[in-house]
Amino acid sequence: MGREQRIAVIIAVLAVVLGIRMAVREKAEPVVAPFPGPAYAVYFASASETVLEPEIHFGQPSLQTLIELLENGPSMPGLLPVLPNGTKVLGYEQTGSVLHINFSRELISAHPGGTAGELVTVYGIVNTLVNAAGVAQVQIWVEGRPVETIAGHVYTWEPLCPDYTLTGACLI
Amino acid sequence: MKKPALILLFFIVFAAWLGAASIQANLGLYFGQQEAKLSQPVSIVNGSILVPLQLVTDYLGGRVTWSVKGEKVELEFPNLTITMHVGQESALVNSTSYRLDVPVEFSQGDLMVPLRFIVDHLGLSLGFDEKTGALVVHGGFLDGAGTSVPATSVHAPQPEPDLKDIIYIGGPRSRVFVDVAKYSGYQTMLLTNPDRLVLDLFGVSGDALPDRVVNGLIVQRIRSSLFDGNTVRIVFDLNAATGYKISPWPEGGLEVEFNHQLMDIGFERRDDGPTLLLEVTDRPHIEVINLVDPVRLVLDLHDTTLIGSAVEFAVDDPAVRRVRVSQNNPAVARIVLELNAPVTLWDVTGGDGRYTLTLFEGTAAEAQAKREALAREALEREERLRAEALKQAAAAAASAEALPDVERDGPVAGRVIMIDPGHGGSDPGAIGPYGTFEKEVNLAIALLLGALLEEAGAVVHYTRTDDVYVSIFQRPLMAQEAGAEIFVSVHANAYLDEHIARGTETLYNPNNEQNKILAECLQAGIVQELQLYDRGLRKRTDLAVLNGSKIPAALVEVAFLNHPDEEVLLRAPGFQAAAAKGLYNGIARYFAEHFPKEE
Repeated sequence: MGREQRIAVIIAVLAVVLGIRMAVREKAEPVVAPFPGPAYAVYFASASETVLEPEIHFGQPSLQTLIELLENGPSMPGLLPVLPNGTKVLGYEQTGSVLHINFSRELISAHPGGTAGELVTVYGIVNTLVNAAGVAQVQIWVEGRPVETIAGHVYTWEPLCPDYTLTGACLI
Repeated sequence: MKKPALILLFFIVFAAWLGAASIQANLGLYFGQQEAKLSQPVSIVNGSILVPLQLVTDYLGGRVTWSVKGEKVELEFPNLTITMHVGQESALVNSTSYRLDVPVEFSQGDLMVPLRFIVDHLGLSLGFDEKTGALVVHGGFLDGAGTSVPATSVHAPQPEPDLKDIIYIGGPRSRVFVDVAKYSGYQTMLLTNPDRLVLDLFGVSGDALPDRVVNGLIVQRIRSSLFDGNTVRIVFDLNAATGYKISPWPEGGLEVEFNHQLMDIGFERRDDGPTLLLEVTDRPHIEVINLVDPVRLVLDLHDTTLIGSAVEFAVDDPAVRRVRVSQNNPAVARIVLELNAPVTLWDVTGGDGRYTLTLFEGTAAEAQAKREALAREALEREERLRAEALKQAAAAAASAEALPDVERDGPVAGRVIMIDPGHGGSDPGAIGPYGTFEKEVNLAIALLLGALLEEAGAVVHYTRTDDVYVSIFQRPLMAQEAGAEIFVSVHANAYLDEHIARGTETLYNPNNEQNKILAECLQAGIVQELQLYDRGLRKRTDLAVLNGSKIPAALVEVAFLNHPDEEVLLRAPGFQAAAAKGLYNGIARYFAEHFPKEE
């Protein structure tokens, strides 16, 4: 083969390879569709058993949202609010990853009592509030001060970690 | 073929084959009239024109923020944010995702970004000027600018409108909040045909807001429109012409609050006396005025509008002759009862638009006296029941014949046991639907249990023997001081609502195996005696009275005090004695099987 012909062959080969490579490149890329956002659970008490039921919401909740959801009570049927009637959140403070949340006195005075009732109230509050960014533990205050217990069984003086062993099925 | 052409062809094919190689174009780039100083040439890859990121900040007024690890960059413009990831072919504009023709990569230290993509989203144009042979970005602020652009603004700033929003808060008074930054005055008119409230705000700039369909209790729709650029007219379409109140909020804005609407009134003589039936949107504040000469009862419903015209009707009743209703003033709907004998308001009940006003036949003073008498009676009844329950428990505990046979010198003989009746004193514990206090039930069962244990030769201590408050931290310490070998806490359970939960459960702290064994024995013993629903054992590490205990401890929830069926049982001395027997059996088994006494 002449030198020119050899170069022509090399170019031809390169052209073929180039063609193949460009064809291969043209693979379909998936388009990223917007997604509804992360999901989080607000914990209410089951109206049929002594357990907490997570009520699923979507989005990235602020503390204000979570507090309002707790105060307003459940929107799904078969659930009870974990806060006693008339309980309001008076305020909150965060130190590091501990959220100190201040309730009105109804949390104690209007609570029906009993270990079963106290556990769902305490952990309904804690499990829900740890959904807020940066919160890992919750300390319950009443009327501006930490309290030893709400209904005489659960120790609330120290900050509490969430307890998911008290939960039943998920409700979306 | 000519050699140089061949070599050029070779080069082009080779360069294209490398794929990622870009064509460095010696293209100029203008932003408006201004020529961009390029740190490196414009590059064209796969048809996409890439320029150094620096140009975006220098000439387009974008603000660049890099993520900490340098894998993501955000370009902030006044009306949008573009987010790009290094090495990826997708970009986010605000929150919508787009695909780029070529990934965003570094070249000689500069991040090369797609020019057309950014220019298009900013609403500008990218063209080619044949005269200069350069790319030109024009349009928007770049036209006619000529000089450099301030780094932060791309579009001319819009003035903030004064009228920001109208928010329907709702509720029984159908409150509406008008979020207006400033206004120099307002004027209102309540019109009919159709029924509406017109609110004119003076000295307000900005656009009217879109119509809002509310279909609330009183407000159907909220519309707004502009007058002469300086006044905003807000119209509330109502279901009926209703009184209202406008209050400015201290932080700014105005609140509109509508009256309750009184729609209908009726009279009925019921078993408990003469009764007025009102159809009103919510429970109003009622002021009661008792008049004599002639004897009449006036009920003023505050912040209420009578819908329709004044009403008057005769009544065939021994006490009441006639009922009249009218709008006394814009804020008060007045009901007047013409009477044969004094009558006053006793009670208001109801909800959901219908309220029952129960009337009392007698003067206001007599009504007050009756109220006090009833309250006293209720209090006395409660005290009597409580005293009785305690007496019965004490009596049962005191009389040895009432106790079932227990084994003397059996497994509990000589053992030291601390019994803890839960709650007490100022802490009543749970309260049942019939009014039973948990603290009393706990004490009754605890005393019976203690009596059985003592009969069998055990040494029994109590954290309390009457109605006093003892702190939950004190109780396990008392057990320690008394040298007790086990700690048994007696409680009754409750849940958030009645009728839901029932049965017996025992709780323990799993930090010690003996706690579990004690709990199992107690639960088995009491379930066998009481035959209630067996809820089993619960492991908890957060119960104060168990955590403080260094000796085996368990908390027994005998039954659910706020389940009406179980409350009745818990009050019954026979049931309490059976519960005590069950617990006794459990304790006996605990010592017998697991810790036999060494002789």
